[in-house]
Amino acid sequence: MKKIVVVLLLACLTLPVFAGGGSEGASAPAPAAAAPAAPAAAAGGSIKTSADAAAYLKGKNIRGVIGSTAVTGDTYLTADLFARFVSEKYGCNMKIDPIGAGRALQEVVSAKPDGGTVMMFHDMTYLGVLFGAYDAEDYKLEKFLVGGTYAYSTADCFAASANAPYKTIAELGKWMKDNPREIVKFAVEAGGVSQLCFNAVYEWVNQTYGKDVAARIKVFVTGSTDAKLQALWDGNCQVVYAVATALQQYTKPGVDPKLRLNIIGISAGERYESETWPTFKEQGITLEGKPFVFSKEYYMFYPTGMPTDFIAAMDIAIADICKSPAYSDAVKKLGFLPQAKGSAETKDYIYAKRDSLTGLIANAPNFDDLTK
Amino acid sequence: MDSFFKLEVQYSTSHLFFPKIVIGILVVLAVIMAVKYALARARGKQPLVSRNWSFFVKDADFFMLFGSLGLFILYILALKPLGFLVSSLIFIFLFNLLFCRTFKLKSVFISLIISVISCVLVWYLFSVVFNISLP
Amino acid sequence: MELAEILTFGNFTMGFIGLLVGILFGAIPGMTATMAIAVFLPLTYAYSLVTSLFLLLGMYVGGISGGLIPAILINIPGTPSSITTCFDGHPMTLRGEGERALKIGITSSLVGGLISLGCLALFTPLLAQLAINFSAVEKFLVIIFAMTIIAALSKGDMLLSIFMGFFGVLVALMGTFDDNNKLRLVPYIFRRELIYGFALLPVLIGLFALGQMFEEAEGGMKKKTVKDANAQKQGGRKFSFLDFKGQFVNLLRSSLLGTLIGVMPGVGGSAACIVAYSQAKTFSKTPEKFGTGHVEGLVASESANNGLTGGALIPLLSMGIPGDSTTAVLVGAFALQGLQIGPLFIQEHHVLWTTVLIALLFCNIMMFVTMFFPIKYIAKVIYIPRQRLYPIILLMCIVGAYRASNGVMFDVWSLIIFGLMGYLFAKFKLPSTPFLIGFILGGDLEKYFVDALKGNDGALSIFFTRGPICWVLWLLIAGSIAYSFYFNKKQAPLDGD
Repeated sequence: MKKIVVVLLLACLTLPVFAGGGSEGASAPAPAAAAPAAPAAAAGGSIKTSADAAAYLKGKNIRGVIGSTAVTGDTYLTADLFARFVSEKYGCNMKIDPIGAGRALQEVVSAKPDGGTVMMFHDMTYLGVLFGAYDAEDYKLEKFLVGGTYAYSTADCFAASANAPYKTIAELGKWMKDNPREIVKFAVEAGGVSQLCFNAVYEWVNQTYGKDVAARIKVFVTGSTDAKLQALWDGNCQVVYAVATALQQYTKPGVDPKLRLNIIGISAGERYESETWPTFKEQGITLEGKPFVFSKEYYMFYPTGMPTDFIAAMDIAIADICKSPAYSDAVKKLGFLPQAKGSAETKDYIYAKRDSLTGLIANAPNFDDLTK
Repeated sequence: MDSFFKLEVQYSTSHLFFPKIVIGILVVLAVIMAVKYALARARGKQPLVSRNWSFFVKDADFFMLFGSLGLFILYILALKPLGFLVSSLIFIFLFNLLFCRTFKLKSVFISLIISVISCVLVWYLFSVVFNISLP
Repeated sequence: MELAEILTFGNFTMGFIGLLVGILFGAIPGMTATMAIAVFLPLTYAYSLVTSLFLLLGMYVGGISGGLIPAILINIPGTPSSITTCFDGHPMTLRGEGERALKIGITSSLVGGLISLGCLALFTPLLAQLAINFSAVEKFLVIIFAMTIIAALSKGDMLLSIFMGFFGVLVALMGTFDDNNKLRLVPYIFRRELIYGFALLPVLIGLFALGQMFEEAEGGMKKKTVKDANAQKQGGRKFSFLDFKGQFVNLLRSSLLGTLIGVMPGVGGSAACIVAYSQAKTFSKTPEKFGTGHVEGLVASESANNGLTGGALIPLLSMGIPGDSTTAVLVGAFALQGLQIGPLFIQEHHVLWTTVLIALLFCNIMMFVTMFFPIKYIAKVIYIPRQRLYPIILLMCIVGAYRASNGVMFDVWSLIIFGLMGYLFAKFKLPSTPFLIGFILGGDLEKYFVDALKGNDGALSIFFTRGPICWVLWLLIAGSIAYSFYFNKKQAPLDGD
């Protein structure tokens, strides 16, 4: 009897194995165009060419932890896409684990630097620390190594209801000045890119129209994009911060007027694809005379002590992959743009970016007052 | 009057706002339960602790109880250094032995088969086929 | 023309594969439909969206349905939304009616799935309007309504149950509060591990599976199977479709409740079966039989959790707002194909809309066929001696716990913490189910309470003045609590006064 049962149980368990095996066989990622085997500029140690990188990375198991728990968010989508291309072209086995910002930071400062664990995340890596969401002593950039960057976004934006009397942030500022009774609430997330961009808008209103107008800008703190949209529809806020790709459809004619949105400002320096959404720069959103431009970039980070060969190999891989049209197409399809920078270049860049924002964050108004 | 029905949520302390309410409810409930209990006891209806009550069941198998707890902790500790497949093979086998409490050849053999088949299957399915990282 | 594109052999095969994988994930304690979809999401990149939808919706239906197998057979909910299935499903197994319970559960799942599919196909615009009108206030009240099951479930000692429920809420609040990123209720030395608090799945399987295992181990795990083999032949009743006689209203009500809760964005899927179960009890002519292996309870739970599937897709497809955590992952499938889902989805992508309906219909029917007929073999699991079964369950729990937050070792440790807690709860006769329900709903309870107050300058009156939906919900809550009190008094005259 016992044996029969065991056999039956096994049969039940094996069935899906074949099913799964079948699906795996059929699901090789999209055929990528043959990559031009161009040697990358900066490479250290013995790894200098694509072939060296491929030889080094081949068969390696790499766990990429990301600073988000969502498998639908921008961080995951870009990281996963990159991981798939790296695995395919360099014969390594890279898996993405979305474990959240706090845990990803813990991993990257504590993981063994053997190439087994890397972190892939965007600017929130240092913004979270600057805003005090994560402990600076433990998690500041100096606590781990900066790797390359593989993508950036031009779609981070503020949006308002299509019925709102303002179509841009510039108009919003003017409208608030002309209507001294009106209060405008922004839905933002604390400690991230959205808080930074909010600070910029607040500062701009403050510098342009004065304290009294700025004092009527308030904040509704909430998390995901759909939570923000619901807060907007409930009337709990008037402006939301989000990734424009997710909102694109809401801006079109034919949408229920209750739901319809307007993109009132893109924080990146360039417009998003063919859309006519105005950037901050175009609207003249300036801080101390300089236009405010911020685009979210996606970086790799390594634990301290990572072998230089690994870093060099990954730099070459990033350069190669970003050049391939297949990756470029795929990343654009997701609403992002490819961007290849080696680890050395990225390090200088991200440190400078952080330093340039420190002042804005330090002078930012207190959320206690903004949420009253 | 209006302010009485207001609960301001201050941003910097909003993380403590709701926990305070829940702890308040818990304390109130605990007090009511204690009072009820004391009253019932005063009336002599219920003894404080039933005389026959003891923490462990009669003839408790302490070896198996603490053995399974200990094995489980060791198993988790072994996951990192040994990797998922090896540690699972060892510990699922040991769990089988522990729960069967016999070293008859046949039983040990079955334990071995079960641990090999289940571990390899789970490992193959998730790590190889579904391509997700295991402990 | 468009049908030819949808109705291909390849698509149906993918749907079937998805279904099998989903059932497997659902049946393994600690793994869920959400995980299955998340795992397979990147693979769909290579397929057309139509084919991917078949695969992913198959997993969704399979994952929700598969959870009933371990719930009924070994009293471990395979997914959080089959928790109420344990209450009446497992007692039936103990009575030797495991196969019957499974078949009733599967049939109810089919009915729930089909009713919600009907709602999706016919009433999407209407229900979408309802979903927009549900603000944090109403969501808070729905969660409270779901929590009244704690009172309804208490056998005698209602105060203790409520206490345990709120204790569960408190444990759920441990970790970082999303709004201001501050840690609360966590001892300083665990600030790293508990940064996000305890994950749901390790708590669930720790309390149920490991707690049970420790108890068994203490008893020496005598050579017995989960159920003595004899009962099946002697006492147990066989399944027949006549079991559903008199269940029509229950099926309809539970499926619709499941669908409605699915429609509400941000109210978790497990709330669906909890609400349906407690309402089935409230409206039942024989409420005292609930929890003893009563068909009505099983029917309510299983039809509601499958009713969720269609419901949760309604706000997703009509507004781009996912109705539960699983549909939230589905958004990724569209994003991978460069398609942003939003309010114009149904108009602009008619083929995909038709695909969703056909795939759901196909998967629900296939779910029934693939589960109903082989189930009598799966039901034989209960003949496996416990000492052989537990190590395998343990293995799966470890994998499930580790994957609960996509690969966090601490979640495996929380498994053991809550295993011990489950064991201690049983020792001190503390009910663990209210604790679990409090834990499941605690996070949402806080979020919507705080959000409602934030949006209304802290005015508590908002909970009463927001509109007719509020009043209806208050009525339901009051009715549910009053009924529990009345029933509790009637049922337990021996307890105290």
